[in-house]
Amino acid sequence: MTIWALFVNFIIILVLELLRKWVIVQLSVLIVLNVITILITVPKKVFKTAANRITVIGTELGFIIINVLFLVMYSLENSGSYQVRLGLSWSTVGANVAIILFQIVIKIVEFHRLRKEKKREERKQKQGSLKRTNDDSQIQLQKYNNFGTFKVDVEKKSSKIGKPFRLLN
Amino acid sequence: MRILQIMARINFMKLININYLTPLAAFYNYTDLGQFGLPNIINKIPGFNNSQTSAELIFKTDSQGQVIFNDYFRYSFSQVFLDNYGGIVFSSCTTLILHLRSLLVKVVCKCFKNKNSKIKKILMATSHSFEKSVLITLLVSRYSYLCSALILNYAFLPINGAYQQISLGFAILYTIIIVFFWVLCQLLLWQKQGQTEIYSTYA
Repeated sequence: MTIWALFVNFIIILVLELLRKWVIVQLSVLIVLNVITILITVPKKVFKTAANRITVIGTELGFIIINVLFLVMYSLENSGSYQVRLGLSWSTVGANVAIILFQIVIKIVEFHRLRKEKKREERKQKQGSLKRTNDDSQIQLQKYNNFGTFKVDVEKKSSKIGKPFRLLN
Repeated sequence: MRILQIMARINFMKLININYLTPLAAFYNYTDLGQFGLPNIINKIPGFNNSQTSAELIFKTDSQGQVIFNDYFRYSFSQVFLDNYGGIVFSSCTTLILHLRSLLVKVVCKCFKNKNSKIKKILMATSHSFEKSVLITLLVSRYSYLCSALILNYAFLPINGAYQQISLGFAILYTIIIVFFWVLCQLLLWQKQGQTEIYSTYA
């Protein structure tokens, strides 16, 4: 995705600088690029985390809205409807601010999610190690008990035979 | 880094030749981060602001050689690479010097006999974090400015003074860096795809 992002950004700058005389073509190409980026982002294989995918889709949608607002603004340029254009200008400011805030919010949410996940994993690991030590101690206790009963049996047998029984070398 | 990238992209939208009235123009003025931090000291070289004017079909230039993009708010860029990207070139140079410093820190750290020394740990941590982030941040976050400066430089090819010639040299250097970066990203992508294919065949 990095290579696509770099390539798209390069194309965007090319379009912005070379097509300055043809505003409608410029904005249409930008919208098409945004749509292509969204379509590329949709398959789950492209990004490892859902947060990245949501960020890219949200940002591109924001830029599509801005481009559409620019198109409307351009078409109304000679109509003299100042109030409508002022409203559109404020809407574009809102869309731009929304894109920036969206990026920040997604970053914060992702940070908290990762922190929670890390804590959960740590807790799981702790529980797993505790369980393992419990199991080990139980096994050891069981072994000890088995050895003890075996020892008692052997002692009983040896007392019956009347000879000392050697357990170990 | 991503925020800086998005901010640059938002700001480049102001180049569209539309009369978008004062609110949006004020927004663009306030959110323009320009050349990111350090001032463009490289423009002290003689010949600065001496670019050629031209009346080409695609671009519109003023009497000082600035390329105008928005007729209503007079947003313009220079033809010379270092005028547009000089601050970032200067930042990159200082970063490289700092990078050399971090290499020096590693050498110094080897002199510490005590392995658990706190100073050594702090020095190592700062040098590691520096190596990881700063150079890539500089390159990627100002990527739009780099593309724009390169396009304008190659479109006009200003070579009429020492400053312009040095600027062209830097432009060629940065073109090589950016092409190398693209190729590297593509190679990494192919490697990643190859690995997933191998995994899928064995799965």
